[in-house]
Amino acid sequence: MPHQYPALSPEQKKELSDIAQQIIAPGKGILAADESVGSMAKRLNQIGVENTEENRRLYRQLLFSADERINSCIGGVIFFHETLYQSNDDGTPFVQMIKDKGILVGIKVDKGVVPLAGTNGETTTQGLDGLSERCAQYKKDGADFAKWRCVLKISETTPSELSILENANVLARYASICQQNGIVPIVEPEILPDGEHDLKRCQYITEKVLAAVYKALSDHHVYLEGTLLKPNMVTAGHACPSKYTAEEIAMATVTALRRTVPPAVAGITFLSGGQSEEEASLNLNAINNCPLGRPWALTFSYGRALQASALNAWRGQKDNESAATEEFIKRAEVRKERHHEHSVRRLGQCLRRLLLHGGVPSHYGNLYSCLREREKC
Amino acid sequence: MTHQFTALTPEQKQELSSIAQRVVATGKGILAADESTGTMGKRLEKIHVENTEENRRYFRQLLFTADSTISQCIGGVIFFHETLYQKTDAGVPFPNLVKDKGIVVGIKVDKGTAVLTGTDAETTTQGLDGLGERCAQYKKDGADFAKWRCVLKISDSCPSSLAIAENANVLARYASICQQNGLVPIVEPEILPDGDHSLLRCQYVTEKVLAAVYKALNDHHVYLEGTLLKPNMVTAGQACPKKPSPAEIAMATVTALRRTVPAAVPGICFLSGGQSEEDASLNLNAINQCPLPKPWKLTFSYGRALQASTLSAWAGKPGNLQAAQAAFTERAKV
Repeated sequence: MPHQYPALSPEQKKELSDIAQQIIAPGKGILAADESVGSMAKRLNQIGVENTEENRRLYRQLLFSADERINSCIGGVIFFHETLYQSNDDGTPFVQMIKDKGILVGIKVDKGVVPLAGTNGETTTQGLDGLSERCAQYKKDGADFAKWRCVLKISETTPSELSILENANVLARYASICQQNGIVPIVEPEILPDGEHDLKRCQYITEKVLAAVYKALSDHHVYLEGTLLKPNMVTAGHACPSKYTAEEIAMATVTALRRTVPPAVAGITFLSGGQSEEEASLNLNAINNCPLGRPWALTFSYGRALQASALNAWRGQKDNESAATEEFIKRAEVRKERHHEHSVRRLGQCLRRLLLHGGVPSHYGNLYSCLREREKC
Repeated sequence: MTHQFTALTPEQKQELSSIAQRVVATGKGILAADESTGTMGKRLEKIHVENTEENRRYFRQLLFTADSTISQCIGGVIFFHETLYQKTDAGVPFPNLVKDKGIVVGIKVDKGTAVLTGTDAETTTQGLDGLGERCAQYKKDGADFAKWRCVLKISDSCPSSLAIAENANVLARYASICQQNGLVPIVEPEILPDGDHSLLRCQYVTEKVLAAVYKALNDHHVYLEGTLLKPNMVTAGQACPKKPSPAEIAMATVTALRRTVPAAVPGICFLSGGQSEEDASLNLNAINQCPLPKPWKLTFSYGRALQASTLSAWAGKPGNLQAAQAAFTERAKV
C-alpha cells in the first residue's frame, strides 16, 4: 500500500499521454466503427442488406475512403477485430488507410456482457482472459488505443452496489493491462437511457458510477493522463414524460463530470447512446458552451450518430458508394465545426483563468516540456 | 444507492458555495489561528511567555486588530473554541471584529487524534459526537466554515489501508454534518513530512489518500462545491538527503491534485506543515506558476508560517505590539 512499484516507466507514460492527446486534439473526435457482427446485423437489416463479411468490408471501406477532409475532425477510429485485418478493394489494409490520414487506430477488446447472478438483469463485461497477449498483438498490428464497454441501467432497483463495483473493477483491470502494452484505454461505463427516470436521477447515478470508476482506476494504479473516458451524457430516460433542453442536459452533464473526473484525464469522448445525429450534435455543442469550468477536452465518440445517414445513402448499392461516403464526411465536419470554435474559446478561457490565479500564462512550448517533466511523476 | 434523497436544498447549496468562494476569493488565503491550548503552550514557551488564557487572548487580539489591509489577503480565519468567545480590550467579540473586516470566521471542530489499535501508531480523529448540535451553535455564534484535521504518516508500513479508509470516512462524516448546519467543511488529510522518504513516495501516498478521501465524500453525498481541501504539499521527508526545488515540489503537488481532486472543489488551501515562512511562500508561488492546468483556486491556510515572526516580534511585551502587527501584515502580504 505505501510503496510504489512503478507500473509504467517515464517513456511508457509519455507514449500513452501523447497518444491520448493526439486522439482528442482540438476539433477532433472518434469514429466508433467497432460494431460487432451481431450489431452490424441490426444495422444492415435496417437498410435491407445481408450481413456477410464482404458486405461489412464494403461498408467500412466506404467510411474509410473518405477524403482528407475528415483528417481534421477525426482523431481516432475504433475497429472491431475482424475489420482490423480487412483491406480495401486495392488490397490496402484498412489500418494503413486510416494511419495514412494521420488518424489513430483503436480496437474494441471486450467480449461482450455477461449476467451478474442474483441481480435484476444486470451485467458485467468479459474479456480479461489473455487480454495482455491480445493487446501486445494488436499493438504490433497497428492499434494505439482500445475500447471496453460496460453497461449499467437505471430502474427502481438498479444499478446495484455490486454492479457498480464490479463494472468499475473490470474497467480498471482492462485499463491497467492496456497501458502495460502501450495501448491507451478508453474507459466506457455506459448508463443506458432506457427507462422513465428524470434528468436529476440520471445525474445522481452518473456521479456515483464515475466516482467508483475513478476510485478503482486509482486502486489499480492506472495512469490517468494516458486514458480517455467515454461516458453517457446525462439525460432523462427515453420514456420520461419531462423533456429537457440541450442546455439542461449540458449543465447536468458537466456538473456530474466536474464532481468526479479528475482534471488529469486527457479527454472525455461522449457516446451517442441512441440519440439521433441531430440531438447528439446539439447536445455536444451545448456541453462545450456550458459556462462551468471544464478542465478536459470534451468531444465525441460516435457510431450511429456519424453513420446513420451514410448507411441510408448506401443501402448496399455500389453506385451509392461515393454519395454515402460524402454523407459521412458531412456529419463528421458538422461535428468538427461546432467543436472547433469552442475549442478556441476554451483555450482563451484557460489563459484567462491562469492570469486570474496569478500564475504566469505559459505558451504551449512551455506546457509540453512541462508535460515531459510530469511523466516522471 | 440508486435513489437520491436530497441532502441539501438548492438554497443551502447556494449558501455553502458562496461561503467557499468568499474564503478563497482571488488573492486571499486562510489564517489558521486555531492552535489548541496545548499547542499554544509550545508556541508561547518558545518566546518565554506563560500559557495563560489572557496571554492567548492578547496574542489573538494582536493578530485580529492588525491593519485592515490584511482583508485583501485573508479570506478566512480559523478559530479555536476558546477564542471564538473572547473579546478585545474594548469588549468587541473576536468573531465580530474579524467579520467587520469582511473576513469569514471558521472554527476548528475536531477533538484531536485517537490511536488506531493494531496499527503502527497510526491515528484517526475524534469529535463526531454531538457534532451536529455543536455546528448549529457555532453557526449562530458567527462561524461559516469549519476545520477538521486528520493525520497520516509515511514509513515502511504506513499509511496502512485501515488508516487511509478510516480517516477518509471520518472526514466525510464531519463534512456531511457541517453542511447540514450551513458550515463549509475544510477537509484536511495531512500527511506528515516526518521521515526520509523521497518526493515521489510522498506523491504516491498523497494520491492514494486523496483518492480515498474523494470517494468517501462522494459516498457520503457531500456537496463538493461547498467544501475546501487543506492538503499537505508534496515534499520529500524532512530527513530525506535529497532536497527538491520549489519547482519540483510544485510539479509533484499539482500532478497529484490533478489526478485526484475533482474540478468541482472550489479551492485548495495548503497547510504549511512545519515549513519555514520562507519555504511555504516560495513553494506556494511555484505551485501557482506551474504550467499544468489547475481548475481550483490554490492558496494557503497557514498557522506557523504566518505567525512565527509575529510571535518573535511580540515576545510577550505589550510595547512590541506595533512591531509584531507589522510583522504579521508583512507575512500575510507575501
